[in-house]
Amino acid sequence: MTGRVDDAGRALVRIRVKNPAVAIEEELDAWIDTGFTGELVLPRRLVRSLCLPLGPTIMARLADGSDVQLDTYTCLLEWFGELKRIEVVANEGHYPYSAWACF
Amino acid sequence: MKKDDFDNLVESVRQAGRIRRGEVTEWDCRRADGSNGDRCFRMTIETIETGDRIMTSTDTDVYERGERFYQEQLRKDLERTHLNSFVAIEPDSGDFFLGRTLSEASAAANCAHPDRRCCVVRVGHPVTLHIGAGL
Repeated sequence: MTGRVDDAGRALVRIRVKNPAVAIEEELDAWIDTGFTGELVLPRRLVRSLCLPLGPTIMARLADGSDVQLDTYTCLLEWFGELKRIEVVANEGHYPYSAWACF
Repeated sequence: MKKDDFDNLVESVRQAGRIRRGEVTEWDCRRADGSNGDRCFRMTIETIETGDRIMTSTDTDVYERGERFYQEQLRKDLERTHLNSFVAIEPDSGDFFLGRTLSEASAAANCAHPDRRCCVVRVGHPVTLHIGAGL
């Protein structure tokens, strides 16, 4: 897997995300967030377009120190030729991001 | 998500024939701290075409009940035996499922209780996840 660094200095890696049950998928660039201890954050519009099923609820601590209760959604991630079932967190931003070491 | 956006999403899912049972009977929205927000919804849609549940009417307090169960019943033992693991808790039954990751714990809970929602906490940590980039 080869990533790239964009003009803003963000490390990006191309990933493919799929709905776990129906044939809906997206290929996208995910920003590697080394401060993230989960697996993947997706913009809510992508969660919606992929029709991802709702997963568990969690509590997350944001970069400003505040805690927020969040919903997660279940998806399949293509990772080195294998499909891995992961829980993604939905946000209101534009960029997907990922924790590199957690898969 | 705004109510209009949500209603549009439900309508599109309904038109696509994905809803098997359940209706949107009320809509509510709140954050964990009680402030107005757009992260939690109350509805009775239970399944979509794939069989995957997307929300049930009792979802809004799942985290609070699960976290209370963890604090009262599990924390002492798990912090000794499974520090840093993730534990998915189904608060109605009290069943819990351990995993090395959020996804592992969640998958185990989903196998045992596919029709119920759970919460996930991380053993020995005040929150489940840290998000460095913010939301």
